[in-house]
Amino acid sequence: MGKILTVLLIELLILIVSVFALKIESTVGFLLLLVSIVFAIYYGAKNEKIRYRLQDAFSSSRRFALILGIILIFIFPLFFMDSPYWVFVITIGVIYIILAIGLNMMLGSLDLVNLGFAAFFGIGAYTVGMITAKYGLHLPYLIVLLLAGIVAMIFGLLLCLPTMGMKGYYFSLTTIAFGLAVELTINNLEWTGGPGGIKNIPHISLFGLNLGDSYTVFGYDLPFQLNYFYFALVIMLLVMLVAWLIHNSRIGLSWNAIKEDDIAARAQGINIKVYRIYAFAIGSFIAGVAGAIFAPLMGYIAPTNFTYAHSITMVAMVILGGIDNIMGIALGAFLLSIAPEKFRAFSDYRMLIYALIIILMVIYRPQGLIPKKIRKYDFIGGAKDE
Amino acid sequence: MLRLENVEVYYGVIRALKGITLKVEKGEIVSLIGANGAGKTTTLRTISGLLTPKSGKIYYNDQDITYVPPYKRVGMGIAHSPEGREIFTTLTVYENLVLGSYLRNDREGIEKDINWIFSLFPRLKERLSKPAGTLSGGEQQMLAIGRALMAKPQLLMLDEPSLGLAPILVEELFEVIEDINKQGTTILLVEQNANMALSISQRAYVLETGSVKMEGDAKELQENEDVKKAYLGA
Amino acid sequence: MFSLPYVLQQFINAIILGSIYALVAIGLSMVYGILRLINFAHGDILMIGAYTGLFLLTLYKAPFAIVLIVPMLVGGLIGVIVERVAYRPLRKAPEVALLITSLAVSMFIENLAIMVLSPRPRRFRIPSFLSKSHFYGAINFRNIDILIVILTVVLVVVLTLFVKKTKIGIAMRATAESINTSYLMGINVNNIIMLTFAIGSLLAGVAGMMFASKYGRIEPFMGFLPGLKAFVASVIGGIGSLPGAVMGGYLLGFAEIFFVGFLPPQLSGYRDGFVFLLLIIVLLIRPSGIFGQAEKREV
Repeated sequence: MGKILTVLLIELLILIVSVFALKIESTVGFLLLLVSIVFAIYYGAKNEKIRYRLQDAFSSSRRFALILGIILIFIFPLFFMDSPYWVFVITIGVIYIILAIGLNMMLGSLDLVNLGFAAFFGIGAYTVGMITAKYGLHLPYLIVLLLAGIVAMIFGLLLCLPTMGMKGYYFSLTTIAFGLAVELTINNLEWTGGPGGIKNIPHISLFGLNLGDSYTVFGYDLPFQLNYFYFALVIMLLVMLVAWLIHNSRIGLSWNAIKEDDIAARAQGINIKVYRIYAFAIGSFIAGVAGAIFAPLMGYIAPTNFTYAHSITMVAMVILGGIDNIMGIALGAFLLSIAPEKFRAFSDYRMLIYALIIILMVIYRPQGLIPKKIRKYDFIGGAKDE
Repeated sequence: MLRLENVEVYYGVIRALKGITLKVEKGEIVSLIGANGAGKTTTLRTISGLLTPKSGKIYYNDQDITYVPPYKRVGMGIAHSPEGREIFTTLTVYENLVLGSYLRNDREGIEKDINWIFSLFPRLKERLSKPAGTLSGGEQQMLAIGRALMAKPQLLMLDEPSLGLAPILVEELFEVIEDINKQGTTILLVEQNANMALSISQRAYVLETGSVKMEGDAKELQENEDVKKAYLGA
Repeated sequence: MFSLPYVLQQFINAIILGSIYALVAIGLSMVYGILRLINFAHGDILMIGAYTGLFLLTLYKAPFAIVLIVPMLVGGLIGVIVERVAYRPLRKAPEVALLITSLAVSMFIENLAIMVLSPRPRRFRIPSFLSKSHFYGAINFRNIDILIVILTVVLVVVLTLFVKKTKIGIAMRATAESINTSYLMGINVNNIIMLTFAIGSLLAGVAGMMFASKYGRIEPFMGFLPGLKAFVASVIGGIGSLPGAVMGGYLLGFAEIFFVGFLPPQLSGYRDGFVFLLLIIVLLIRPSGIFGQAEKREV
């Protein structure tokens, strides 16, 4: 019972601190809070006793921790009912978590640093924009979402095939070229609206609900952004579940084997090409899905939403949080999408700060904030993360 | 001249040297013999500084060089002709030799030594301006040794100099090694061909899985039954 | 269809553009040859060179010789600092770590430039004696164009001699082949790497000046595309090879100019897209480039 209480207290503490962190108005106050959080985590991790107790508590009541965590995330935006803008920001954060998890399929799992990932995001968003706004087709949204994923996936495969034999810089620079080519094309094509992009993208309507409407629950008027938050959250949890299942499947294992040593992996009979195709297909599909949530939330999309800088930001999120660790990636993506809002005064320096973060992380903490877990095996249960 | 005290070296988590203690006196030829993976090459790479010990000390002329970077050790007089020849295949034979004398500034001395190398290995002279990658295996081996000699070392470490050479060349090569030694260069030799190595050495160490198993006079080791059985193919 | 003077004019334009690409590609290729690192910040050093030139010209009214030399030195210095601070701590790190750091360094420099210099593009006006045009019928070129081509040729010849003939040059080639064996020769590998960065960045610095002089306009992101194109050029020529980088630079210059000059004008908006397409095609057909050999070094 004590363990469950520990889990409960820790998760509540995280919730309260997060809410507080976002609510704080003064930059100095926020910085102080940030510093104390970092210190708390640092000392907590250093102190064997505390660390052991926490690990023990969380691993022995895993299901409870998970369910409670999900419940708290669902409650989280309710603290921001007075400012729909924050709900919007948090929703964008959730979309970036989805993107970062998609990117990790290539970056974390196979060491393929894709610097054109925003292109898939854009392709997904544009697919939705074209279908719903430009051509005004009234397809059920879930079909549109699926189409966005599939179109992005097709482009993913288009990029995958010519880059099949490439590693390292050759791959990364080719993906830069790909990303820029996509950006250039949507910017130049009249068909996609050119630099002006696509306007008036209708809101998502799902099972008779219009996510653009403000609903009243128990007498409270909820901002429409909240609908998007919950929708994005459900998709995010699904994507996380899929990513987790893949990570622990034969595919995830093969990816890691290829990453460690592709020659040895090939010698083990792993067909590298097939697993690369999986990584591209799944990763770009997820990015397309993220785009399909993004476009109707924004109502207006343009080539400037899907640039090289966005691609780099996504890479920074994965590096900061912890390559190949779903919780770490989520943390990294959320921090980096919230931070610019918190540091409004510094928002011009955003990319500068990202760059510094990446350099410092790679040199001093290459494993990220939350390091990758080591696979453990018990022979009955198969692969397990501890 | 050279002393290793309890040197431990790791490759990642694998302990490759488990506390090696050995010494080489000035003017000696000392051999390291042992099976593949015994740690002979690792020992040489540690002495030349390509690997850093996790614990233990290396002394050279009574100076602690454990953490001296490799290029400075060359300047102190340690030359290492690495295993598998490792010549610069894209550079010419001449350029390889010039690099051997990289830290020397005596132009005339260098020219003289190049000519000396050519007298030791006349075949190299014919190939002077050819890329070293076009040389035959034996010629590459000569070039690697010649290159190490160009540093005018006090201590010359040779890693498997006879590897892949025709038997007649091997005899020639060992004569040259003895010659170099007589001219005042101390030699630390790693050899598969233990018989040959022991026959020109004063002392030898037998390595087994990262530790010194036996040490002593080369002639005595050559007569030792265990050594005969394990390494001399008797 | 196309008149002879028109073709000749395009030819001249291609040589000028190719010269700049060649200079940028040399540094990128040499650094890759030694460290197996693509320095994303290489293009940004070009930008720094251009801004240094601009300030010397406008604030100090410096003579043009100085405007050429100082950006080289500044570029070289920045290259050395970047190597020392960001890349040297990662000497033994996996390639991906280097790649990401390199990317971040580039971002850092670009955004620092935006902060310090403002994102606004600036005009870059060269002294009038350099902007003087020569007309031969329908063909024309300026003094600065002549200077660009001659300077490139001189720099390439000097560098080639240095790498071929001097002991340090030999050591540079040796280090590119094997870092460990170079140590055994007594070569201070870190110094050689630093020197390689210095030389490469020096050339990028002067290329920045040329770029700015040619287009008359500079901005903090101006190095991004030339950097990417230099990579394409290096790959075309065989990455790691000095003559390869030069040839690759010129080939790319020609390909780009002729693509824009001879294709229907409505496609010219895709000029840069074409370069990327070329990259993919080159990598597909001949990943080791035209002059390169397959990579074989131990890492």
